[in-house]
Amino acid sequence: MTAPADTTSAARGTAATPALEIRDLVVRYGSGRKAKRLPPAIDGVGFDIAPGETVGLVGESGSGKSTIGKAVLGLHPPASGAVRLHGQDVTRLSLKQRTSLAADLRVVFQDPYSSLNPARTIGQTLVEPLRLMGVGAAEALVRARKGLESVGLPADAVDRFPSQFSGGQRQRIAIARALVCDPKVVVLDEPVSALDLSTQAQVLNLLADLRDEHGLAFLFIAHDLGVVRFLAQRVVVLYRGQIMETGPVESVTQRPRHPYTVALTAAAPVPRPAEQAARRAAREALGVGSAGSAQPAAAGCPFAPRCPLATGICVEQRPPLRLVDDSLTACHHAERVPAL
Amino acid sequence: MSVLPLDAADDVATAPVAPGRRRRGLPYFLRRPGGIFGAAWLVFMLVASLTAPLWRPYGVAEQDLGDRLSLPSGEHWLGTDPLGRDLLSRIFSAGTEPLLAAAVTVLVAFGIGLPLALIAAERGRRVERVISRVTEVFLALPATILLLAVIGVIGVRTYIIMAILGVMISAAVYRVMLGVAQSVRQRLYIDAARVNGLGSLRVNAVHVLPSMATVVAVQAAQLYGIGLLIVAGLAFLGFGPAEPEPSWGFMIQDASSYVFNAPWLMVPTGLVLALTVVAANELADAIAGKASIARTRGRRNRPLARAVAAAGSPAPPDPGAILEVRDLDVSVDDGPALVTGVSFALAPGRVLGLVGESGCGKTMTARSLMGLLPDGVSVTGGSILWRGRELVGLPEKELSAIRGREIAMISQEPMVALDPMFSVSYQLTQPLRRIRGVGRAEARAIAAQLLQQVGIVDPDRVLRSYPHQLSGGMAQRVAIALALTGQPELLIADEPTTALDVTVQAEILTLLRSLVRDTGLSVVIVSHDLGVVADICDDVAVMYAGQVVESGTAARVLEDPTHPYTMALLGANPHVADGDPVPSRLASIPGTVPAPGDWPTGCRFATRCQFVRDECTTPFPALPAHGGGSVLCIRVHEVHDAGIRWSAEPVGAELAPEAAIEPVPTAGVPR
Repeated sequence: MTAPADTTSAARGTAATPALEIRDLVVRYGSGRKAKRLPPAIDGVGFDIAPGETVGLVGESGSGKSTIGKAVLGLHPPASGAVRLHGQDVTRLSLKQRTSLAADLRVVFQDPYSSLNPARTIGQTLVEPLRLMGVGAAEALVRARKGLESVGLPADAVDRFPSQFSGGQRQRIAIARALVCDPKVVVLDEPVSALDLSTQAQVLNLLADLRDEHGLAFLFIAHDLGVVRFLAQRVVVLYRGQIMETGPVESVTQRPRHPYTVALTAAAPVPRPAEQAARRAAREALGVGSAGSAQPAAAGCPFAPRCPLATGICVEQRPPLRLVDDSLTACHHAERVPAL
Repeated sequence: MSVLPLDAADDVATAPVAPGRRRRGLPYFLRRPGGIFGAAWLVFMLVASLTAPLWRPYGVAEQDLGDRLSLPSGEHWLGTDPLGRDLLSRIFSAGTEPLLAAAVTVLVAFGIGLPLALIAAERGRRVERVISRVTEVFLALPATILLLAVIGVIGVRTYIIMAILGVMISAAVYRVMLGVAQSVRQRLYIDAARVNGLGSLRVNAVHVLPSMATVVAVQAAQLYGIGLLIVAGLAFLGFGPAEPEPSWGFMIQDASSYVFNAPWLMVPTGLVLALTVVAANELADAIAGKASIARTRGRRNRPLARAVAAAGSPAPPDPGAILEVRDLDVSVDDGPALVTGVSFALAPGRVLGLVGESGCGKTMTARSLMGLLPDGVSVTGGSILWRGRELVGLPEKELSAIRGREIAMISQEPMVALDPMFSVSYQLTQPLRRIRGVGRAEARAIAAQLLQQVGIVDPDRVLRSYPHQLSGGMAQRVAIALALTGQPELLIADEPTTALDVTVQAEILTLLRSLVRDTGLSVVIVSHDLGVVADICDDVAVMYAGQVVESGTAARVLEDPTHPYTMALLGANPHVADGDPVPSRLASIPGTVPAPGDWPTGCRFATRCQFVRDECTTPFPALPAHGGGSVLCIRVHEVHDAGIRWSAEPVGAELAPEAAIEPVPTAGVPR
């Protein structure tokens, strides 16, 4: 399924090499015969991220969004497909072979508690990737201190342990660790989901500032479309390992062309009771099926069992991604999708 | 998507963090009596045994036939054996071999078992299966018979025999270590190190092994004790050093034949062996204790504040309210207050939202309504009137009669409410039969009916299933059905949708709303999500640092917030109104919620507030707002009434270092 990805870049009209390219990615869990029997966790996903661009990867739990992040990072090798970093194929490189380019690709995980080793000081944690790149010990420590200041923490935090920091502060440390070796691409795996609202806002503002300052490309994995709309320029909506819709964030969130995106957008509550009551009524009128519904037919659209618009063709034939308005959508009935 | 329990801080604030790592110097286990004794005794034994040839008063074979089987005396401090040999000299001369041979067993067992466990945990299932099958074969071998066979072949060579024993025990070590290594490898910092490009060896050496250190130390110390007993046991059976060379096992065997005419002979050797084994186990306990110290504090009976409640309720109860909380204080026993002066009222059939960030006391408030506060935390003042009845100070027996029948609770993690060992049918019918006193068939019919009521379309299938077979949304529906078994009038829902996907969250909220509409249920819902509050709540109480800072109807509080904290929370929410442009920056609140005990006097939000003035540092009462509600801000007229709003900081403000980073109380939460 290279076609959709090609159309993506064609739609944006960029000719430059993307910071990150993902092509026809297929990831399976398990091994041997069992893996073949199960549907793949990621099924033919492809998209690009331009330098300095943030692409949001949205979906519910089990949609495979974190799996894509792991495949990009080399933590879970894909069954087929390609991942290219600045045009260089890194799909089959082991983590060790990646050391030379690890500087270009970094990660911030969701859980700020388990992503920092409690037995090591912040300094040791930040210095580790620099030392691996061959930076001298003294120089590495200077850069670690600078890195902490760049995320709004005092430089003397290098001597402290993670347990002395709150969740939001730890997430800043995790961001400092990702940015300390000046990467070009950062995978953000639900970086704010575990944080409180006000802290979440601090970290989102920080990420936006750092991106603009360093021209970073973000693969921003999230389940909250509101958060994605704040940070991302483009968005990829995943359902059961397949792309349902992708396009500029404003058109996908404001004028969704896929029933699943509509369901996802309508379900996110807004903090204004009157508006929320109207949205709730609209959502209930949609008639989207419950998440626990029957398994989809392998040949058809994965969302068909829950979709209020589903017809015979949806069960028989998997809809290809096609351009409708500004975004690509994988729906046979995209033209009939109700407005929000 | 494993979302963290956002209110974990509430639960943790009561368990002080063990200072452990921060204080350098003595390792933690050496600050406990057992640890000191264990380490000191083992070091003493080792030094005394190794140096015995230098100081022992007599040679090991030196006989004094005129002084056989004597009791302790000036000449023979510990007495003599049947051949008149000095026991003190013999015991310590014999010590070297068991002490070192047991160490050989430990070293060999861990030298093989630990690397295998690390490899198996790293390389995934296929490698792990092969190694595990091989170790199972080892575990199936009869160790004693094998050891005796080895002795038959190579003779009595204690160190080699104990090394072979180590090889066999390594299978058991591998088993234990594999589980630990696998759980450590799931932590994200391992992934982060791998993404950094750290090689496999260094990932294990720097990140995995140190996290396993405690378990390794405990297991090693225990195995050492077992090794000592086995060396002594072999010598007891005659497979030890040949006479006249002394050995603990032979000396005990010797003593056992004189146990009636010279009982003292058993005492010195037996005591030394027993003490050495006990020392190894004490050391293991002390090391293991490091992990569980925070939990060892005993359960205490709570000082219940009936007197306070009686004295502090001069106003007549609100006739329209089914639940009325007045000036509620919740504190850690002998510690800081967690909740102070919380008041709210709930009318029948209404939904009240307690909203705020982690550590604001909203979960503590909700739990105190059911008398389900964690150990060491209790209600220290105020009153909770449930249908006119005072719940504060009520004996546990009467409270438990109310719990489940009149007031029920659902939590953030539905799986916590469900026992993985039993089917849904069993878990629903048990309380039905107990509370409603119905028969088995009828209970099952009611259970199916309840499941239908919570929106499950195929109740029969769900009744047959076990909790792990349910999805998160389905499990929360079952948990709600479980809460409804006692036909409660009040449901306390602690973050009921936080762990769920948004589409599932919307379904659960719709379900709760229909329950309220159809059954007249009242609900207290704890949430950090203002969207959820806007969706389902009639009334809302915004909590900050253990206080209600603003309350009123949800519509008025959320549409027109008067307290700066509420304004900031709403500004931090990225869900802008449809059609509105996305802001380039979100409003945020600098710093974090202060820990209980560190609350500023006067306004507790003052240290983080954009509108703070000098007068905010003096205490002041809550002002009426939103009709029947209240607001706790002395500047409410100057700020809110003047139409000033909480503003997002200018671009780049996030990059300025925070003035001071205080150690946070949520620290050290084991995750």
